[in-house]
Amino acid sequence: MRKVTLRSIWEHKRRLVSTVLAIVLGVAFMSGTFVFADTIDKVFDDLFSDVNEQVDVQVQGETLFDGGFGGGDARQELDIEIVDTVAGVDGIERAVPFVQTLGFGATNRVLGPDGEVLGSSQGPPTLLESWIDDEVLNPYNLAEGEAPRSDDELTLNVGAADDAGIEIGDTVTVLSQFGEADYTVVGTFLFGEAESAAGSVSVDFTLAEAQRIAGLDGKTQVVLAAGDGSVADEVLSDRVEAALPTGAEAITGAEAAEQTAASVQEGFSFFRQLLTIFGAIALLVGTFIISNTFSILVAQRTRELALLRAIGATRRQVLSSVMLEASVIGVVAAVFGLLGGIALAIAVTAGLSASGADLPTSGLVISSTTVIVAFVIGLGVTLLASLLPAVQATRVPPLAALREVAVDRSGASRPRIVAGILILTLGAWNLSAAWRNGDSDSIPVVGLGAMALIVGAIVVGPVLAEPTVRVLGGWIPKLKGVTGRLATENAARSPKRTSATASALLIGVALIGFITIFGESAQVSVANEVERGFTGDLIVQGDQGFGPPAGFPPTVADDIDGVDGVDGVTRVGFTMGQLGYDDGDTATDFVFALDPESAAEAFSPRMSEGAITDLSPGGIVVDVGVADNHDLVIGDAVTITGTGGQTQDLRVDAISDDFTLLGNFTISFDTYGEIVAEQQLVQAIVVVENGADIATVEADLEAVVDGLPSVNVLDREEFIGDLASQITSFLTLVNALLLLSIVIAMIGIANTLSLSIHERTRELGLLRAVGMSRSQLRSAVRWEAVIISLLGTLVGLGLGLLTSWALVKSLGSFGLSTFSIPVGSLAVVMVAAAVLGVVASIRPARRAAKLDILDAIATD
Amino acid sequence: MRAPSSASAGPVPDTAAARTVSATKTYGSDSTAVTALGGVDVEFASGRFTAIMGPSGSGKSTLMHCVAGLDTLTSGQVYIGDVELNSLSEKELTKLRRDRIGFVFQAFNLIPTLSASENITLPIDLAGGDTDAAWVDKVVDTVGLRDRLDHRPAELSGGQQQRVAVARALASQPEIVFADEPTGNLDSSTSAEILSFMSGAVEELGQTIVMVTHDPVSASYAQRVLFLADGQIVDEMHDPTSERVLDRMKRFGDKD
Ligand SMILES: Nc1ncnc2c1ncn2[C@@H]1O[C@H](COP(=O)(O)OP(=O)(O)OP(=O)(O)O)[C@@H](O)[C@H]1O
Ligand SMILES: [Mg+2]
Repeated sequence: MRKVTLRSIWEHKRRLVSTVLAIVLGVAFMSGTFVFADTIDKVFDDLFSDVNEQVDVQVQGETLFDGGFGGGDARQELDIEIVDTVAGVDGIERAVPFVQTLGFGATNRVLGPDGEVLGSSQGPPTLLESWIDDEVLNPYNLAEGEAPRSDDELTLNVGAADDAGIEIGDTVTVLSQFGEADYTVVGTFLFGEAESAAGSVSVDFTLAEAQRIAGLDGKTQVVLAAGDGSVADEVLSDRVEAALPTGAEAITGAEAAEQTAASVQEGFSFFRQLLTIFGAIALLVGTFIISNTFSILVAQRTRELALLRAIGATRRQVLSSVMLEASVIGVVAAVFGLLGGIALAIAVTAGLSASGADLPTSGLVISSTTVIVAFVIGLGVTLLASLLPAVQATRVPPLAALREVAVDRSGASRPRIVAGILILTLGAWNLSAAWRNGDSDSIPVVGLGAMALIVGAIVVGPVLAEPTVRVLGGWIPKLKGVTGRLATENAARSPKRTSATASALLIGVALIGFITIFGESAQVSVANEVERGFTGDLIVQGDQGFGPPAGFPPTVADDIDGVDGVDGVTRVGFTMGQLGYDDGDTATDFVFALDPESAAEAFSPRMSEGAITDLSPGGIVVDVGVADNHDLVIGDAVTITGTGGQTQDLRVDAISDDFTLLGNFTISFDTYGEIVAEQQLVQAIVVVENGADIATVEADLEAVVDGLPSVNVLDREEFIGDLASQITSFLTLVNALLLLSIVIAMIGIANTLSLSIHERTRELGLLRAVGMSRSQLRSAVRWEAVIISLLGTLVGLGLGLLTSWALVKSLGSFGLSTFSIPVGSLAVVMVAAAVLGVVASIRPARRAAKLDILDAIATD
Repeated sequence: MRAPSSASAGPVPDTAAARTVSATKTYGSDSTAVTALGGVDVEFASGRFTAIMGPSGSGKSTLMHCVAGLDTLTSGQVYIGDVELNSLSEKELTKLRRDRIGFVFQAFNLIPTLSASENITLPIDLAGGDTDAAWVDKVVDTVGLRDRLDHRPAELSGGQQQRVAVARALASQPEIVFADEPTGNLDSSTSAEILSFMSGAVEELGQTIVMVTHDPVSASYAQRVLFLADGQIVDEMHDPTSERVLDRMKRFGDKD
C-alpha cells in the first residue's frame, strides 16, 4: 500500500510542485518573520548584555504606564539623593546616576560642524547621555581625548564621529527642547571594541548638562551599581530594594539588560505581528488550495482507489495512503518553506540596511522554535487540508472501479444551503450593528459579522457558483463564440471545484477591497474635516508615521513667530499620557497641548459642549466618545499622569467632537509644562497677516526650519495631501503584503486548471481533432481562468465593500464622516484579477494546446 | 486468393477525395521498429462509402489517422483533394480538419458540456462561419434527433450519441468523413440504424465516407472494402455482402 502511495506521488510530481508551492510560500513568510525577529532580538540582547555587564543592580523609578510604540515604559523620576542611599547598602561598592534622552524627529539631535544631522531618523537612535565617571560602570572606553568636564563639552562614539568627519576640538550643535546649544568635542569613545552601539549615535555630557537637556535638574532616571562580589546579584538587588523609598525599584543587571532589549524589540513587534498576520492569511489561502487539489486528485483516482478497495484494501488503508501522500508533501513544503524563509529574512535585513537602518550583522538566528513552527505549520496545514479529501477517498465504493470516472458535479446539498444561509444571516445581522448602534463599540461585532460573511460565502459558494459563472460568462460567447461558450461551461461544470478555487482568491481580494475602500473613505473624511475645521494658513510639523509624531523644540515656534508676515503661531505640544477616570479606568493615549487663545485662530473644531477657548490652566478638553464612555460632563474631574511622573487633577472644560483635529485629549500649555520633563511641539500653525503673501512667508519659514531634521512647512493643500499620503502609504504597505495571498490564489487557479485539463484530456483531443486550433484551445482555458478569478474578485470586493461601509459607519465618532468608494481603484482590482487569471492560465493553457491529439484520443 | 470482383461496382468516379502514395509509418527505432504502414497506395473515391478491414494491429487506425491529418507519415504522401498534407503547417492542418474533414470515433465523440445541437455545429462554430441552417436541418432530420437537440450527451443513449457524432461529421459538409469503428460499442440494431444512415448520406447527399470496422455486417453497408494486413493493402472487394467479407476475413485467421 505504501508503495502504491509513493509511486502515485512520484507520478504526479509535476502537479504536486505547484501544490507544494502554495504552502511553501506561506511557511516561508512565517518562518522568515521568525528568523528575522530572532536575529533582531539577538542583536539587541547581545548589545545590552554587553552594556550592562558590570552593572550588578539597577535602580529605576516604578512604571507609571506603558508608553507603547517601543519607547519603553514611562517611569517615575528619582531624586538624585537616592544615589547615596544605594551606595550605602551593604555589599554595594559603587553607585552612579545615569540620565539618557532619546533623539527623535527634530528633538535631541546632533548637528555636525557642517550642519548635517548625525545618524538617520529611521534607524538606530541618537542617545544623549550622562558620562559615567566610574571606570567600572562606564560601558565606554575613551579612544581619544578625555571625558567631558564642563557643561559645554561632550564626547561621542568613534563611529558617529568618523561618519560625520568630526575631530576633537570641533564644535557641534545639539538641538534639545531648549533650542540649539554649541559644545566642544573633547573625546571619542569605543563601545567595548565596537565603534558604535548597534549603529546608535551616543553623545555623552556631564551629568548636570544631561540632566538639563532631559529636563531632570536634580534628578536621575536610574542608578547603576556594582557590588563588592560578596553576594549574588539577586541578593544584592533585594537588599537595595529594601532600602529604597517608595516609587523606586531595584533589578539585577541581567534583568536590566533584558528590559532594555525588550523595549527596543517592542519597536519591531508591530512589524513582526503584521508579517505574522499576513503569513497566516497566506496559509489560510494555501489551505484552500491544498484541499482543493487533493479533492481533485482523489476524484481523478477514484477508479484506482476503487480497484484497491475491490482487491481488498481496507478503508483505513485508503485513508492512510492519502494522508501519507499529504505528509510527504507537507514535509517537502516545510523544508522548502524554511529555506525560503531564511532567504526572505536575509533579504529583509539587507533591505533594511539599504534603507539606512543598518543593523549590526551578527549572523542569522535560526532557532529550533522556527524549525519546529515551520514543520508544524507546513505539515499541519497540509494534513488538515487533505483530511476531507482523504475521507472522501475512503467513501469510494469498490464498484466505482467498473463505472465511468465521473467528475463531481454536486454542489447544492441541502445541509450546505441551510448552513450557508444561516451563517450569512448571522454575518449580515452582526454587520448591521454598525447601522443599528453606529458607534465604535460595535466594531468587534462588525468584525465578527465580516468574518461570518466570508465563511458563509465560501460555504454557499458551490451552490451559487454555477448560476454566477453563467451570468459572468454570459457575455463571453458573444465575443468569443464557441470558445467562450466552452470556457463558461467548463467553469460551471464542477461548482465545488470552481468555488473552492475562487474562494482562495476571494479572501485576499475581500481584504484588499476592504482596505482600499476604507482607506479612501478615511482620506476623504480627513480631507473634509481638515478643510472644514482648520483655519491656519501654513503649518510647520514633524514627520508623522507609525507611533508618536516626530517633534521639534518649542524654541522653533519662537523663531517662526519672528518671521515677517506671521500674524500668529499656534503651538501644538505632544506627550503620551495616562488618563484616570472616576470609574477607576485608565487609558494611555496621545495628549495634545494648546494655547486656547491662539488655537481659536488656527482651528474651528466641532464641539459637543463648550468651546475650545474654555480650556484653562488645569483644564482638559475630552472627545465626546471618551466622555460618553466614562460619563463625563463639564466640570468633572480626571487625572493625568505625564511622562514626567507627576499626576495632576484636571477639570473637564469642554467636550469636543472632532477627533481629526483634536484627538481625544487636549490640555493647556501650563498643565503640559507641569506633567512633562521634556517639551516638544508636533505642530506650529501659522496664521499669515492680512495682505502678506503666503508663498513668501512659506519660503521664509522654510529657511527657519532648514537645519531641522524631519520638520516640514506645508500650506493648507499640502497639509491635507500629507494626511492623505500617510494613509495611502500605510494602505500600500498592507496591500503589498496581501499580494502574497493573491499570488498563492493564482497558483491555486493554475493548479485547478492543470488538474482539470488533465481530466479532460480526451475531450481536448476530440476538440483538436474536429478542428479547434491551438490558439482557440488556449483562449478557452484562458477565459475559464478569467471567469474563475472574476468570480472570486467580484464576491470578494462585494464583501470588502459591505465590511468597510459598516466600519466607516461605526467610526463616525473618529472623524470618519464620509463613505467613499474609490471606483478607479476597484476597477483596477477587477482588471488586475482578470489579468491574474490570464497569467495563471498560461501554463495550463500551453499544456492543453500541446496535447498530442492521438495520445489524447487514446487516453482512457 | 480470389480476384476482387469489380464487375458489379457502381460508376467509378474520376476524382479521388483522398489518396496516399507509398504511405509508410514506422514506430520506434532500428531494432524495435514496428512498421504500421508499409508503403500503402490507396485512393478513396469521392462520393463513395469505403470500409477498411483487417486483423487487429494491421494498421487500419494508423492509415486512417494519417489520411485524416491527425498523424504524420514516416515517408510517402497523403493528399486530401489536391492538397499534400506533409506540406501543411500545424495551423493549416487544423484548418483542413475543421473545414474539409469529418470524424466519428468509436466512443467519446461529444463534448459533455455542450448540447447535442452545439456539438453538431461545433466545427462550424470553431471556424466562426455561418451555419448553413437548411443543410444542418436536413442532417438533423435525417439522423432523427430533432427532439433531442437541447440534451447534453450524458442524457442521450449510446446510439443517440453516435448519431449526434455522425451528424456533426456531416454538418460542415466536409469533403470526406472518417469513422473509426463508429458502431463498435453499439448493439446490432442500433448499429444498423447508424450504418444505414451513413450509407444514406453517401447515396442521397453524395458524401464520401471511409470507415474502419471489424464487423463484416457493418462492412457490407459500404460500397467497397479494403483489406489490410501487416501494413499492406492485401485485397479489395466491391459491393460486399457480409458473407463474402466474413469468408475473406476467415482466411486471415487461417494464415495466422
Ligand atoms: N504509438 C504507437 N507506438 C508504437 N507502435 C504503435 C503505436 N500506434 C500503433 N502502433 C503499432 O502499429 C501497428 C498498427 O496499429 P493500428 O492501431 O493502426 O492497428 P489497427 O489495425 O487499428 O488495430 P485494431 O483493430 O486493434 O484497432 C500495431 O502493431 C501497433 O502496435
Ligand atoms: Mg484501430
